[in-house]
Amino acid sequence: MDNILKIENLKTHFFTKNGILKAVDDISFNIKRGEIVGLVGESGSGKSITGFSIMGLIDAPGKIVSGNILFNNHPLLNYTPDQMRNLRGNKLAMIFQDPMMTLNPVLRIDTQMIETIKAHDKTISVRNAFEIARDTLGLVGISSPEERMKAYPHQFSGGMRQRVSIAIAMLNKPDLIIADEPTTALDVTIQGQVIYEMQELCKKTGTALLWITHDLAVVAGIASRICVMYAGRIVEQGSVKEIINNPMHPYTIGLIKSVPSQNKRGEPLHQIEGMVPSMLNLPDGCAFHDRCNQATNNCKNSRPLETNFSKTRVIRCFNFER
Amino acid sequence: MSKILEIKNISKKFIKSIDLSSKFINFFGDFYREEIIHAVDNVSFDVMSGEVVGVVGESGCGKSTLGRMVSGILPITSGKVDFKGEHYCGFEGTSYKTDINLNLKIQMIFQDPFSSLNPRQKIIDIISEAPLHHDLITKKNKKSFVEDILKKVGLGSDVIERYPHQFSGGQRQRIGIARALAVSPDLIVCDESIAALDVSIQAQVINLFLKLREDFNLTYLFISHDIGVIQHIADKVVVMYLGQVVESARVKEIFSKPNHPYTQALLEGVPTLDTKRKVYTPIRGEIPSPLDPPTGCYFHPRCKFSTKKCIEEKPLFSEISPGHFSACHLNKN
Amino acid sequence: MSNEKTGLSKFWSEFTENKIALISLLIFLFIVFVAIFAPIISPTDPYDLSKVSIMDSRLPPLSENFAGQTFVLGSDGAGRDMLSAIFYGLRVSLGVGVMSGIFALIIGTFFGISAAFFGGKYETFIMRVVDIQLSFPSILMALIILAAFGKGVEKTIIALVLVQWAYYARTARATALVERSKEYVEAAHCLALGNKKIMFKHILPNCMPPLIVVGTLQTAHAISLEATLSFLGLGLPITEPSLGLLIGNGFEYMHTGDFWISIFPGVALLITIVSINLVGDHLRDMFNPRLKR
Repeated sequence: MDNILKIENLKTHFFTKNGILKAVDDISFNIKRGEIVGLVGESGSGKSITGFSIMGLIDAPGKIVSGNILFNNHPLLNYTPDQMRNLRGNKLAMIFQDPMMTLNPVLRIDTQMIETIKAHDKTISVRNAFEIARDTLGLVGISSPEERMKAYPHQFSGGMRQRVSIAIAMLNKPDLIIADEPTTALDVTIQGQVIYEMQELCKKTGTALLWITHDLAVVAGIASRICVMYAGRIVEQGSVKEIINNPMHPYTIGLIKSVPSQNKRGEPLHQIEGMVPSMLNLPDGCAFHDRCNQATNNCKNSRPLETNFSKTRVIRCFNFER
Repeated sequence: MSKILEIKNISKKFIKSIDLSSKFINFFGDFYREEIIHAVDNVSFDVMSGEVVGVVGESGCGKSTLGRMVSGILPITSGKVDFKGEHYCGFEGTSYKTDINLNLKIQMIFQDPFSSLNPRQKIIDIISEAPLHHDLITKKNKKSFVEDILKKVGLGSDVIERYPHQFSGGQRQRIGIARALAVSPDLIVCDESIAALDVSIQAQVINLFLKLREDFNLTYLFISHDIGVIQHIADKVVVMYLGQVVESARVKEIFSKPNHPYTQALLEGVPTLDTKRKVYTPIRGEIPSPLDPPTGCYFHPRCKFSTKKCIEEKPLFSEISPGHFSACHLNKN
Repeated sequence: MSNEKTGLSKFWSEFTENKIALISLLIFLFIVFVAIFAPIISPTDPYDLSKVSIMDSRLPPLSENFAGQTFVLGSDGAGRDMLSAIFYGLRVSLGVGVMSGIFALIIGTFFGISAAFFGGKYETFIMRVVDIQLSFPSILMALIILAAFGKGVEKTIIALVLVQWAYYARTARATALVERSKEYVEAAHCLALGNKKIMFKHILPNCMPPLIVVGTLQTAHAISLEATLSFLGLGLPITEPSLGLLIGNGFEYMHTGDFWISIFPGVALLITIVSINLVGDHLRDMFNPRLKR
């Protein structure tokens, strides 16, 4: 299976008046066709900026400083704005945490969906576009789609709106969907539904999915591979089973250990000491060293490079547990 | 163990009354109706001293409203709350807390670390304002008092002259905790206090809560949608749906033998670190709008087991085994 | 903990990024300086009747009078030096404008915040009064009030306050409503701090930014309103001429070509109002993105 997305040494920096914010600082990973990959990190890890970088949505003062993004073997960083516009909403789509970032509150759902289809296919008739939209809504689990399409976004609940956003992303049969915290704002029972539906959908249509989240548990059930980000760098990558059952980077280990279900009741939770460093002021060496219980002097001074531990496993650490 | 809090049949109604022009139009027909939301509907449970009672539920279940009623921020529409055996109700008329001795005993820690601190107050003032106002400390010992409390929540004394925007979310939550502790409460209501924090910080704050419970003999009413956290720290769990309590039991009992179909669906639906792909049938349907709740049992439209009785009759909240309460018709047999 | 600049120094560095606003602020400060020190820096005292001679009247700019003094901006119909008259006029215009602005701010903010805090019938009543008042053109309202009260500095200030308080009340109520639902206000209730303290120590300071913006723009509006009233002959008496009155007095001479008696006070008024407006605009832009946060 070849890669639908290949990211090599991507760096996205923000040039603010307070200094250079290295939001994404040399990351590399791939997504195969039809694969679901989880990009996990906390706030400030750069995971959302990664998503925006792929979509070409980085505005001043941000800039993609170096690296390569290959989508279907096309180098996206060389694309003109027009070419990117053709791609977005077409073969490359994005879903946001807040569905109201996708949906226009003053337009009906059917109007918005038909608009999306016609933007990328000028020849299609309104009737045909309507039918595609209706069918896609049915695909994401909205009952009686023909009637519900006539409604406005505010007449839907949060979960339904997110489903509509997913439907809009799927309208033009994308090869890759980037989902940035799509279920974080949803209730637990609705979240369960949406996760399940997205998984089935991707299986059915062969769409690859990059699921960006801070919640390891959410991707544990759905993804086949996970990349863990910290302070703009990917610290560990591997298959889901490997990462969760056998984490090697101290940050990943700490993250998993601090989940309540992994701790004994009544005992204090395992915690990672300290805080995420300010992105304006990243330390010279490994970004995690001041919170790491395995750090050595080496970690403070030099940045660890990525080590290919196995064919599927990549880790960025000097002292990882083998 | 004594009962520290007795919540007896409290309800909260939000009424959107019709204004003058709509009343006028109503002369010509029944166009506008008063909208009533039963945010909290006849909730009763007890909290024992030193306990952590976890309140779980999804949006619209009323758990945040419940928390605000208990801590005196929102007036109670009906029912009453007793604190340590004495009558304690949220309000009288339109003013908020009036009985100082009683009302400082229940404090709240909020969800949003960014809006729960006054951006224009220095940390030292945020923490010392209430104790000074109520003559618990004097201006002279203000500084040492604040430094002392900050130490207990794990912050150094170099923060006192700074402003909230200079701190991270986790630090701000600690400051909020310090503010609550400054008036020596007995019970603290935590309203989704860790939801807005990063995962690695959540563990720190949860540990802080547990440590403070021991150091200060506190009782917690812990409101959260995060089942994993509740399982870890709660002694008793109360499950709410659309303003009503559907089940309550000791934590071990409710996680091993959930009775109400909603509780079962809730527990099943939580994503876990279990990498074995489970066959998961998600619960169907949406959470109904509180403006227009279903008839009978509120959960019946989404329930796998609903019967005719569920559509017509509201189930009673009854004890199905010692300490385990549930509101479901299926228990009658 | 961040080491970013805090409070005033951060505000100042952000403010000075916009050069136009900075220049406007400097111009305005200069005007204030002139207004305060008018008696000291004026070349003459135009209201000292012993020094003013009708023989010097309507002299064009840069001409000399019999005593050898140069009237840089000319003299008016009574022989008064225009430059000095403008300095004194600025004093009155600014004084009346700022005073009325401050009082209107205090009254309007009080009603606005208390309306937002207490709600219910009290709020409805106050806001209806505000709405009704704001639907009248301010000129009309001021004219009616002054026609009833008569002339005088205090009466003018009162009229201007009555016209302006509603703007402040509306803005104050809007921000207070937003702040009231924030969690730190709920925390203050939880800590039983008392309504007064919550309103004035917690809500009020956080409402200040938009009120400051309204304040600057309204002050400019008040100055221009007062000028209009004086031009029409209402409001200020002839003994305390504001720029508006000077413009009004000089109007009749426009036909004969003695433009300087009206135009120069007009230019001074224009510079004053524009500089205040530019500062106010920039303040409003500065505060907006933060409010969105």
